[in-house]
Amino acid sequence: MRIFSSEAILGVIPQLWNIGPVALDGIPEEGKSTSIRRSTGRTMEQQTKGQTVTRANDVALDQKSDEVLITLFQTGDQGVYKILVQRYQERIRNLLYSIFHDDHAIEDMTQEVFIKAYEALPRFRFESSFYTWLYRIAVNRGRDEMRKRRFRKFFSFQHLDETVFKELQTKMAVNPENRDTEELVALGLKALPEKFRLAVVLKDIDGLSYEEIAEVMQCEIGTVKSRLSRARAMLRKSLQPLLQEVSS
Amino acid sequence: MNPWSPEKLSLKLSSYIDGVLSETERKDLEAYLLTHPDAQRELAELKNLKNLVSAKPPLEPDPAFWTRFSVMLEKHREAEQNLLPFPRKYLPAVLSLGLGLVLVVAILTVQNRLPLLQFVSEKTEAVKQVYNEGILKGSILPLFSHIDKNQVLQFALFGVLPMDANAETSLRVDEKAEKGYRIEVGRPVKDNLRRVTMDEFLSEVRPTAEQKGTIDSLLDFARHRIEGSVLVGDNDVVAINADLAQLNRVMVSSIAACLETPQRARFGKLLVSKDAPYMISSKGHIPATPEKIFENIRRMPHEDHFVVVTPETLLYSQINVDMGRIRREIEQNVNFQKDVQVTRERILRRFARSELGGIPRFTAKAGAETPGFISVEIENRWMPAVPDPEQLHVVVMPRMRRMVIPQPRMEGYEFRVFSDSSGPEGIPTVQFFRFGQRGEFNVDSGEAGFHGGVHVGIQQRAKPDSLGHQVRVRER
Repeated sequence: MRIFSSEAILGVIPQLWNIGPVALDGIPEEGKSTSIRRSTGRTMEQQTKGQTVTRANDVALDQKSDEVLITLFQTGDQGVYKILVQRYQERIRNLLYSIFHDDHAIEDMTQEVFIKAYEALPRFRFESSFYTWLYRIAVNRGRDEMRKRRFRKFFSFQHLDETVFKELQTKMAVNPENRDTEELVALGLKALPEKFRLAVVLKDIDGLSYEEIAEVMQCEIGTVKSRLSRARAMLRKSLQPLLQEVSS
Repeated sequence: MNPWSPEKLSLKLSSYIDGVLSETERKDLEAYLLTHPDAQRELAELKNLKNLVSAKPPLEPDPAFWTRFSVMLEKHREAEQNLLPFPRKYLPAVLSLGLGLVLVVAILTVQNRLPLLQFVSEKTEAVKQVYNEGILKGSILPLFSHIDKNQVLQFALFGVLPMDANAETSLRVDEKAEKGYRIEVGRPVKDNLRRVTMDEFLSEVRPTAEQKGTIDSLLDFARHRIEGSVLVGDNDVVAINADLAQLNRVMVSSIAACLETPQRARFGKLLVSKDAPYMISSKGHIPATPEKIFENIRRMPHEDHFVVVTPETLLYSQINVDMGRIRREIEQNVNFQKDVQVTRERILRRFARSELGGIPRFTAKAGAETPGFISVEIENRWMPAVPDPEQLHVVVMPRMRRMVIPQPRMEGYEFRVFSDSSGPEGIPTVQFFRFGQRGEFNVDSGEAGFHGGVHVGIQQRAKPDSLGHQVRVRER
């Protein structure tokens, strides 16, 4: 069981005791005044002061740790979810884009990931960091999507996607000056089986540690090592001309 | 050094570029690389590969993501507010299914309308007969008419009243804490502890002459209330005023209120030693005046709702009882005692033979385990609130009855009886201690056991407090 840091506790206490103006009511937009959800029983003057502090408090909340924000969310301040979303939306978008390389799909999938997180956040138990937890949701969503697509295209669980691999070879065969390295790497990743692709994306693009990858993919660290090794071997094989070119 | 397998080499190199090899593994690999140019080339390619993959530029930030997402979130919240126990998209299917079921039931009902109508008619008639015609009309008798002071005291302190001369059947009232009250007619618990005579009470509590007068008045009040609360009809109906269930608590608090602190302590001790259903604790040192005590009793709401029990059915009904007329009839009827005795025995025999059905609001059980046993439970919401005895500087709370102590029975065996509200989540729990181990007995489930290794020490017998009583039980 995770123990809250003093920052987490000290950050939450004023919110719970209404020392500050407390909650963002719902999802406030920029420039709109935020209302005070909990009745404070203060005088008008005090409440006015409170509203002044609210804006300052928005800024303060923005700098709070994930744990503080989650605790606030779990104690009823659902408005703080905006801060969590904005904090991680780009990482989740990029993660899903790295997996699928599909601009159209990632918008919906990112939204679904944050909806799932919103539903599950009341039950978040601080047993892992928020972002690995969120990554796990994103990866599971990504897996579902990959399975759907795989069933449609009869993909292999263990071997390279032949269709994508052929496309990669075609593009690799063009004059090196006309090659789009980024596209080739993306196709190389796309050709990898799901679990190998996820391991490479989480390690080399998102920079997660082996432990974090194991947590996100819900497997052992040894499995992570093995998957990374096999994924890189496959990528090395499929991107061989490009790698030789880079080496030379 | 012998060449490594391609898989082993790939695994080592992959871990090497991620910097997760141990010191020994790293040195081994670096030594291997010195003598294997192919491995060096693979390492270089893997490093290039890692650089290529990690060089992927991030997507352009999407500042409008939240705006779009918040719309979706709002829709999601609205969907969540759907109170149906299933997703809204299944509504048409569920409605169709429901309609189908209604149709099936309707068809079955039409097909079997005659037996059904007959059944409803019979039940309606039975209830109507009890309720409108036969119920206590013209032949009403109080089941208890000449109860003596000892019996009243017995009821006042323990909620138990023998129904026949040999005390083979008794009326019991009981408070079931949060659930409500229970009225029972049945065989008495074989427990001589729960008997106390007026003399015993007086010698134990030692009230002054003035206090004794107040207590006499209280018992007299209780006697009248009991006589007017348990009635029988010549159609084998017993009607018990629901208020009677509360009389026990009111009497205990009223008697305690007129006593001085040391007398109250002795009274409390007597209740504990006799295993009374209530325990008391003082909130003040000044005894309440008789005026205040009776004012408190007058504030006790007197409901005219009776639990009407027949061998066939059960009702909770308003009955207007003219006790003055009844008393006049009793005085004119020289055979009254004999009539009541005959009626009482007949009723008890009939109850013993019958299986009572339940009616919502009550739980009634009869027969199987204890022949001739009627138990009616009345939920709190159907009962008027008893005046707060704290105004009399006395706190009266239900005390768990003496529990049947589960095996093992041991010498010097101790347990603590909690008042209901102090147990975990309101579950009546008895804790017992032996040889430094704590055990628990769940009153509801009847499960008992020790917690291994919990050293809490053997507790000494404690005075009743807000948590309950600590009691020592000796092996029989």
